[in-house]
Amino acid sequence: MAKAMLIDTSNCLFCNACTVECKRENDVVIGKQIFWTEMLTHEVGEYPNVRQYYHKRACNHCTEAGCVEACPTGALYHHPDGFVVLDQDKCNGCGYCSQACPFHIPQLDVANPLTGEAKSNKCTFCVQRTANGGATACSMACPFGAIAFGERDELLVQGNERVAALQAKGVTKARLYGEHEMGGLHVLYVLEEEPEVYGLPSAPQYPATISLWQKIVQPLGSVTLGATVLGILGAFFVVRRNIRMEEVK
Amino acid sequence: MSSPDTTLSRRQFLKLTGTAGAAAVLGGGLTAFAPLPAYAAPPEEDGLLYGTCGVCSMGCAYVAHMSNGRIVRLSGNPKDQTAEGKLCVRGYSAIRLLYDPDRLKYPMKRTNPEKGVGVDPGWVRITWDEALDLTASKLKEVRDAYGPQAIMLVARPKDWQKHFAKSIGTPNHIAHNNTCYSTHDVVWRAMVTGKGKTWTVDYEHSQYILAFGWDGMGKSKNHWGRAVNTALANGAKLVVFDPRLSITAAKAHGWIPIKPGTDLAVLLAMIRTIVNEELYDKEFVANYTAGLEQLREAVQEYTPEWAAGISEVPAETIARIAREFAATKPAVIAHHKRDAGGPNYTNSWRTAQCFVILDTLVGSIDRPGGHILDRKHKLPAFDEIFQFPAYPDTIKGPRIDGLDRFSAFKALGKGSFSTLAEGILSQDPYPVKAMVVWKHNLLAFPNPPRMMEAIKTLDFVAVSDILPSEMAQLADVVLPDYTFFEGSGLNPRTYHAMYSQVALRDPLPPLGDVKSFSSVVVNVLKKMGLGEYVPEGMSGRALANAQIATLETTVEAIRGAGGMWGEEEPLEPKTEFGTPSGKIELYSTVLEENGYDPLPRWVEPRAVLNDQYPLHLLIWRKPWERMSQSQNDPILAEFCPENCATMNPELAQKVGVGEGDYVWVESHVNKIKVRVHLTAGIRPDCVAVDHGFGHWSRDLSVAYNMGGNDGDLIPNLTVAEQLEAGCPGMAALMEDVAVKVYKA
Repeated sequence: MAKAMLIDTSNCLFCNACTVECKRENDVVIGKQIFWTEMLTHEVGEYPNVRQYYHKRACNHCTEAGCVEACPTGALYHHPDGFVVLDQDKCNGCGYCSQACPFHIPQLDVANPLTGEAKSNKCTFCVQRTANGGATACSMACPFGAIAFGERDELLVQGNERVAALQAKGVTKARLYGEHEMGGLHVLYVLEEEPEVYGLPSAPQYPATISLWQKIVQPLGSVTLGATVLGILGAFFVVRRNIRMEEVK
Repeated sequence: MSSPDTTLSRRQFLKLTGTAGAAAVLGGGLTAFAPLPAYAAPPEEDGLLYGTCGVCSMGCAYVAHMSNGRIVRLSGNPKDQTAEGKLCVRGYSAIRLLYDPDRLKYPMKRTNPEKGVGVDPGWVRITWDEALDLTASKLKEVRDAYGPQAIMLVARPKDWQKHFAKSIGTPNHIAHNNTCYSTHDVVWRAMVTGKGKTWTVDYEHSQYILAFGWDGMGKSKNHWGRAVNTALANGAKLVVFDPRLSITAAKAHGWIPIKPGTDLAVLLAMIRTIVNEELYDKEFVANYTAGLEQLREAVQEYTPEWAAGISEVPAETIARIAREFAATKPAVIAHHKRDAGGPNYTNSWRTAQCFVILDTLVGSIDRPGGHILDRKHKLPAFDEIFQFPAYPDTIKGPRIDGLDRFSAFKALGKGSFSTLAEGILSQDPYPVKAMVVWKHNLLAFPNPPRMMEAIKTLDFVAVSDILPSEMAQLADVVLPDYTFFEGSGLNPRTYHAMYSQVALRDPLPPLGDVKSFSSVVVNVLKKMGLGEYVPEGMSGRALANAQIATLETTVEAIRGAGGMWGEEEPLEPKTEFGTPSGKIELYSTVLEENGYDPLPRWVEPRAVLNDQYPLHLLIWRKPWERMSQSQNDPILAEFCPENCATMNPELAQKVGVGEGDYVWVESHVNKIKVRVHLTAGIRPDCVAVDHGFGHWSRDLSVAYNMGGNDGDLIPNLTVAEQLEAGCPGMAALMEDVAVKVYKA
């Protein structure tokens, strides 16, 4: 069964409990503006008719994930429970995942200033916890009922109920985001406004070139690499044979 | 913003801390700490401790998850009615206070007699024996030469702290209450409780929540944010009056950007509307209150039209909200400390009085969905457990902060930060020579530069604290204290006590060579020759054991029950109140006896905007900041390295500045340099500065030199000025000041 999180922005109080507990739990680098989850404020209107909306921005764990498609090393992959894991040990810092993400989530961090070695950074759904029956650190931390963790099917029901309740209270633009986007996100949002207000594209998609990249260029690359290796080996044998021929002579 | 020395992952950071600490021990600097144990790779949790969070006075019960003797994670205790299994961002972050490499870890004495900003105190590590001997001998010298009143204790009024000041015989036990909530405290004592403000509010069951400057949701108050969210989900209406679009206001059905310092006008007009239209809860008012007729007469001049002229809130809006508030049940006025009824303006105490009146008129005092009176479990008092002689009469003498001139506030046994500096400097009513400070920072005073001048005139200053605060930088002796993790005992629920419940506090073995303040009290009193106040066996542990015994249980049994003691009980509404008449006194005889008009009246704020200072100053706090104690947290500093002058783009345009530019914010006392943050969610005649920044202690390696301190802009006061302001709670007038803003 697919796991997911439901972010109810109507309950979010911009407190950043999720931010600090994420950084602690995942040992995220401190002091370089690297965040696996962060809080954003969105302001709409002019004084005095102004509204503010708060939103937890992090990886949305797409079903059709551009980052997974683009990753050349297998560092990014889908967990059987649906979310997208990043294994930093396998990451070569190429940064294709950032370019492939319709939400511009993965951040590159130069982990070693001497070698210039970089690593991608993004939410891993606290795989160390969730793969063992636990919940994500942010959902455990949230004191105000803005982050739920659980089965995606159940959270879809819960999210739609919440949207209906908000609409009944007059929040006419309330909606659930993430049910169908990118083949279905594993982070669902209850929004009170248009997705764009929160910086979420209403029809997200990743660049076609990404698909091209993994399905054609990468295999092609492998073919090319194979041909190169064969060529070198061939040359080696030819040269060695020539040397031996010399010896025979 | 990031600086290179904070560019570390947690593990690297902790590893390096160890080596840096060891190197500094040799150097003998203030950061000379013994290395802390570093995290092992992903911790296997191998135990837990129960405790209560000391970040704010909500005191949520936590569960500390342990690995190899170290706390690796905190969660809220699910058995606690306050925490309900959660902590807030400040609570979760407290783990980084506990393991802060900059923590004070052993006693030190000053070798450089000069004191001030940028002055190296020349710290030398000393033993606890030396530190306690030095403190006791200096205090004894002062006491012998000038009398006990020449010694001040600056500390919250807790058991051990009160015992320390009283045993010495000084009346000068000074706490911060008049910068915080004294206005609420005096009116609740006078009109309802006989003993100060109540803290529990049953927001969850409220259907109409009305707030004036209250930002409980934006201050990440654990229980309240959750309770109001639940109320909203259950169809409650939330209306917020605030010059700034706070987080609470952003969640509200209506945000009303009222002119600062005029909430009282709106409240008086609301009372008039509700009384004249007979919309009040007739059964509650008839049975449990006194003084409705006098109140009716007193508010007749305060029409909604009059209030509109003062507050810039339309008269129809005022009348509509008054009617909605009275018609929806249960309805409640949300208030806590530094809201519109906090000690911000000359009229704030009248605002707080109107809060009580409105809550009473709609029957929301000790009723579901309203303010719930004290159900805190009463543990035996300090002097019931320990036997010692009566305190000397000198404790009743005149005070250096002038508190004795404010009888209604004096009765609460707290103190005044606003008047302390001028008291010390003018030596009125007498000279003071020594000061012991427990966990109060210099930056918490109105006008800290002036307070520092006062401190410099003292012969001796001892500071007990956790971090090398600015106050610690002015100390002659530093006495490193426990964090709340290292303390033990019991903590009865107060902030959400629908029934009597007590939380257990398991102690974490102390880190470094630190001592609890109770142990400092015991040792210093003995060494001062005041051994009669320290009976055999007097200790923090002994106090806790005696208190646990009265619960007829054991530590093991409470642990077995999940760290909490006390069974849920249904709320039995109170029918008797702690006033002379036993009723809620709309006409307050207690205020009258103390020389104040017993009925609410309009009072002008002190500050008047003028050409030179054309703006209102607003002070607020971000959800993750813990007053001036959290800015050294590297994670919090990463997403909020410094504070800002928050202003409307319309004002910024006039000033000629944009987002991120530096500006000076200046009042007639001082100026601070902060960055501009623009939002449409603030009145164009206001500038808002968030609290906690402007640290100048170089030993706070993360917080040092970031942002500016709003307190610098607040004038301190003389007792005469305080009397003239006319507040029985000695309100420090924290926002009653006009400012200007210009490009830096």
